[in-house]
Amino acid sequence: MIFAFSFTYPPDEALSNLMCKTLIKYSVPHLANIRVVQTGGRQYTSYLNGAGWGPSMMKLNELSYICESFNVRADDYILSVDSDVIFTSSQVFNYVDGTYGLIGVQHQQPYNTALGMFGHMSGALIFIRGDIAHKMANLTDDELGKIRQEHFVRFNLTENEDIVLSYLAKLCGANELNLPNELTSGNLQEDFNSNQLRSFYHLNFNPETFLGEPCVKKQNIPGIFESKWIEL
Amino acid sequence: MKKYIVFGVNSNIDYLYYLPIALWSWKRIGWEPIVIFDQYRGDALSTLVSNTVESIGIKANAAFISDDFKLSPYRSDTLSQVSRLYASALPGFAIEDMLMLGDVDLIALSDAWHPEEKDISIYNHDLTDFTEYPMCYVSMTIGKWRTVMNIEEGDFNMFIKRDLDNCPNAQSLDFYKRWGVDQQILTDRVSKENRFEKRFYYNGKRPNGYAMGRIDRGSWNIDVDNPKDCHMHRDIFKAFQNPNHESYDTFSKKWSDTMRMLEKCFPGENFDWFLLYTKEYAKLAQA
Repeated sequence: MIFAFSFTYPPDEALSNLMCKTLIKYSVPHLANIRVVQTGGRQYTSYLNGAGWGPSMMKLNELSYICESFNVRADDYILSVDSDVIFTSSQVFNYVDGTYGLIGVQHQQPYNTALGMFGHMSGALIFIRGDIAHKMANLTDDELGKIRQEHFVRFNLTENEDIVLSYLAKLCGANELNLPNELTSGNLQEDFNSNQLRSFYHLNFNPETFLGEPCVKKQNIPGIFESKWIEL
Repeated sequence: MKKYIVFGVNSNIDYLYYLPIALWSWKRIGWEPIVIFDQYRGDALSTLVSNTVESIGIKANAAFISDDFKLSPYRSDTLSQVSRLYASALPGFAIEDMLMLGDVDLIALSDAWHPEEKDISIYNHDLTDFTEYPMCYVSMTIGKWRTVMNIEEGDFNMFIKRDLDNCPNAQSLDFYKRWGVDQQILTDRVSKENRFEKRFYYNGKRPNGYAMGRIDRGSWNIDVDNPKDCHMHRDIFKAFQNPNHESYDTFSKKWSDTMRMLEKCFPGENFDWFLLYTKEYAKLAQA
């Protein structure tokens, strides 16, 4: 089963809803549940866009909470997903079969780390297997402090949440799967028009127009789908 | 921190019936029930309900909508539904106590609700296709409810009137507009709230639109994986009324469905009290 979580903020609410809607549609029957935290209030004032050690620890806390609260089994997966991801087929979930501890779209220029050359998974979507997630959840504050110093500061690694989650998973023994290009690396508009959608898209762009309509920013994309009665 | 779940009922016999089983199901997983009554009549049926609740060891906190509303344009069902939003104005809470919105015809089948003090928890937003926030099972602390609803400890009737007077749909003759007034007020208040984080919980929905993890009267199947709650069949007590009723077979089947669901979800539990209660309720409701 997949236990998904996402951190978002109010301007992305429509995107986040679209992500949840499409995740629910295409991940059933693998989905156990989704938890979405809408930041921007008084508790997560420093989350912002997830950059930095603090926000990374917020995500780790969420992962830990899920491990503790939902009886996550060793072969289950926790999915950290961005609110600006949309799913368009169930194909990606065929890869989440228990073989790999860390699954995602891997950074293509590996860098030197204490664990050797490593490329992190894009924060758009990171699957972490249950056994690895439990090990990550059990890291103490002292251990995390040492990891930060000896692995991140010493090797000058950026402390963004995608890198921290990926790296901690690797440190906890995960073997990685870089998802095949054909699952995601398309152009949504072109793929949509040619009716050749891939499995998921990261809407990390701000198109001037989208499907022939004025768009300007990605937050307007869900409204354009809606106005055209398009069900993803 | 105490955990409370609030229900609103009136003298509608179809809904009042569920109260004991709903309260029992939530109490067993640690939620203290609060029941807000409109049109409380203290008649034989209400007495049976309260005696049954007491006999199964539940001490429910009760509150009553003011009789002053009798002269108002608002229907009793509207008042009892929206009253849940104002429960945090009732006395006796600590501000850190957790308060969740419930429905009497939704019973808890497992301990699946763990809202966090720091957030506003919103469940199953996908079931409204991401439009309004479903009333069940929005949860937050008493302090947050008071902030979000702009109310304070005191007479909750005053706050109900304040908000209904500003909600055109509250008097609408269109059932669908009026029926959703509680959810509209909730959504309006919560969506504008930017001081607190919101936490959305999704279990997903089945291809037929019904909630995953819910045994639902609209698509009855007791073999769902990890059942969390049950949207109860209607009319089940009518299985013990007139056997010549044209729908008697349907009522009987719904009763039988319900008992099989309870036996499956709560193995080893003795539901003799529920059977006795249902028979007595059926008799009194028919009188």
